[in-house]
Amino acid sequence: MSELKGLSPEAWRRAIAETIGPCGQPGYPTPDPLALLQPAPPAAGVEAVPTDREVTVEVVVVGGGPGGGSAALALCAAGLDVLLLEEGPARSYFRKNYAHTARYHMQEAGTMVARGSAMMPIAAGRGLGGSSLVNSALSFRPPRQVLDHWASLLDDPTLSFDALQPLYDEVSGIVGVGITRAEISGENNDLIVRGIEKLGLVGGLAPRGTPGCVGCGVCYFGCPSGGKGSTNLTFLPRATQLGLRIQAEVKVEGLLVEGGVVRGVRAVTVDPHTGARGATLTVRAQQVVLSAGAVGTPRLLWHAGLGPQLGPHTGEHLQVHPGSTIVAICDHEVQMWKGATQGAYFHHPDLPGVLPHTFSAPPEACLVAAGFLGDRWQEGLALLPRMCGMLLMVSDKGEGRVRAFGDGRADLVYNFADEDVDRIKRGLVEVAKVLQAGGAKDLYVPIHGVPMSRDPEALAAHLHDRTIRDFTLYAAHPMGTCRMGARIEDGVVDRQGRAFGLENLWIADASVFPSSLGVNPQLSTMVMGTRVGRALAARG
Amino acid sequence: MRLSRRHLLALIGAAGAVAAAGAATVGLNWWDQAADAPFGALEAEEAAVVRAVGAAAFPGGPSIALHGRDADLDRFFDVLLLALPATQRKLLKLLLHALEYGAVLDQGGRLSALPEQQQRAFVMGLLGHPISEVRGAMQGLVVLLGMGYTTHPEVAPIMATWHRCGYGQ
Repeated sequence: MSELKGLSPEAWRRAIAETIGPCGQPGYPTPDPLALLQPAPPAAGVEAVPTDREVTVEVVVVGGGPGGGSAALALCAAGLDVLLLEEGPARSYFRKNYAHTARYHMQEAGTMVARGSAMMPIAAGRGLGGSSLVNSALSFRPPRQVLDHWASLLDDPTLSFDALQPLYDEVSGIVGVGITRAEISGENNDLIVRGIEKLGLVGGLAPRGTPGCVGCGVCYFGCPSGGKGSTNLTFLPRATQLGLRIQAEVKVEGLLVEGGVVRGVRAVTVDPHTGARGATLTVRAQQVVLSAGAVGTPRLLWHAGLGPQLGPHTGEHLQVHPGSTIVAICDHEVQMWKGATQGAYFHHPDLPGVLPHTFSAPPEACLVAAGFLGDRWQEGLALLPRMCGMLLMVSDKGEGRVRAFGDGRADLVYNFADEDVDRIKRGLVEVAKVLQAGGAKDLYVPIHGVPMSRDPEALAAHLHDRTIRDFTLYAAHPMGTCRMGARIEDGVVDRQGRAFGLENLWIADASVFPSSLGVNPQLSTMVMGTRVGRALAARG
Repeated sequence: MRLSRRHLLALIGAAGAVAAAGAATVGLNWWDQAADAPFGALEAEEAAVVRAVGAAAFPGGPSIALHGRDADLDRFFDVLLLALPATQRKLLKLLLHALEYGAVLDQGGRLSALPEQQQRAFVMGLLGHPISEVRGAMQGLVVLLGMGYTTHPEVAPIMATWHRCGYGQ
């Protein structure tokens, strides 16, 4: 959102309002929450692969997350014979701790770490539903300036903000996007809203794709109530009703390529509990759609030895929305884990491209972030009920890349831009002001050498000489690694998502974004998946 | 905090495996095993290091009485290691060895054999270490063990009062 800088206050407020979309307004097509709570179980479409076998379909989609699910729905709606393959479990294994979630629903068990400027864990989901299983479903639309930039860059008016709004409306309706309801927002969000109002900033309760949310604050473990409109409860059931076949617990390890033409994929079954490999599955298909995410898709391409063939941008331009966090202590009870997990946000006119929103994490992670360990462990436990948090992410200028290690794991590098680090620091100070205006007192940041502070200006002084290596980092929005371009010199896929370097290969996930979004990517990934699916179907 | 080059390299290598703070686990009833039951992935010496880190990071007290040394975190970590890919498992075990012998340089004895206050001083020193990879590796390990501590049956009901869907329900 760097392009927002320089707008008049009124134009700026209007631009921000556009990122929320029309959700929550009268007449917006919100699905019946009860219908989403009782969907056709996607596992019903899952077939077993007891022994090695080969199947033939018209289209095979690799990945069952927001990109793959939306592409599959578009393809099935066009009457194509589609098989969707997913590495993760066929069923959701939600339990009461994050370690369990990581085992079943995070790519590489949650251990992907980028090196470069600093060590930065990067999260990506897996399982039928992909990252939508374990995200907080924040559903902002990208700013007008970002999408119009894409349209200009690719010389394609169908990518402009106005042209894409009907698609955003459509996927928002499927997911059930609405403004976080006040009755389930919780004090962690309400405190932020009070701070925003007190300081006169633009923001408030956030749009989320959680039509049946009960506010139990554990989105990142997997939604225990079924109230989140994750892909497994929205796009995939709709697609299975239109004939989609799903094969989960199979890992695609290679593409069948004959003379520069993709003819299918090679996969192997993987036991979700033990990781043991079993039977092989060969899928011959007229078209192949990769939707394994901005880490998984280029990792697969490089592991399959196809990186160079797809051009110089394969796996490049990794962007992640990096940021940081403040954990704060209040005099009153907050109960961070009661209420919507991430349900409030704000924008600051002096910080274009910075999106602060609610922070929530398991208690032990909050205590480590705030330094309550050892002699302070019991003190920290006693403070948990009064703990609140907010994080910020930046629309990054920094970039990295994705490759594959020999054993198939993702090899990640990310290098921060100085401008991003500066915006993170300045954003933290504004977050501190909002939290304090809302009632927080003691401010803790997970940054080496920065002590607890009660004054945002003092925090600014402490942050001044800190480098990115002092930050405890985490990122969860990988994108841009197989970006769209007008030609192979500019990108990996064309304006429709079709690969330049290989025939019959398409990519439909966040890797096709031509630049950093600046907002949480779920909705945009679904829009791109739908768009790619329809473009492929239109080819007949 | 003094560390040999060898220990430092081990810590840096392990950082990649644990900094994600959310590796993999967890089998049922990891806390409910006989004390002399064999470990699946840990050696006895490594289990002692895990117990030492748990004791240092999570002392018992008025908020939650269970002490980290009594929270069966070695059993938790053993299950966790079994669920991890081989590369990450090796790196985490390497980290445990680096901690055990790094304490000799810093505190004058192996970590598992030190008095608890010295164990704590060593662990807290690494959590605030100026080298980010060392700090990240230690933070990652402590968060992992924290997952075990907070899901222990003596702790989970208390955590459930704050985290109702996440713990114990």
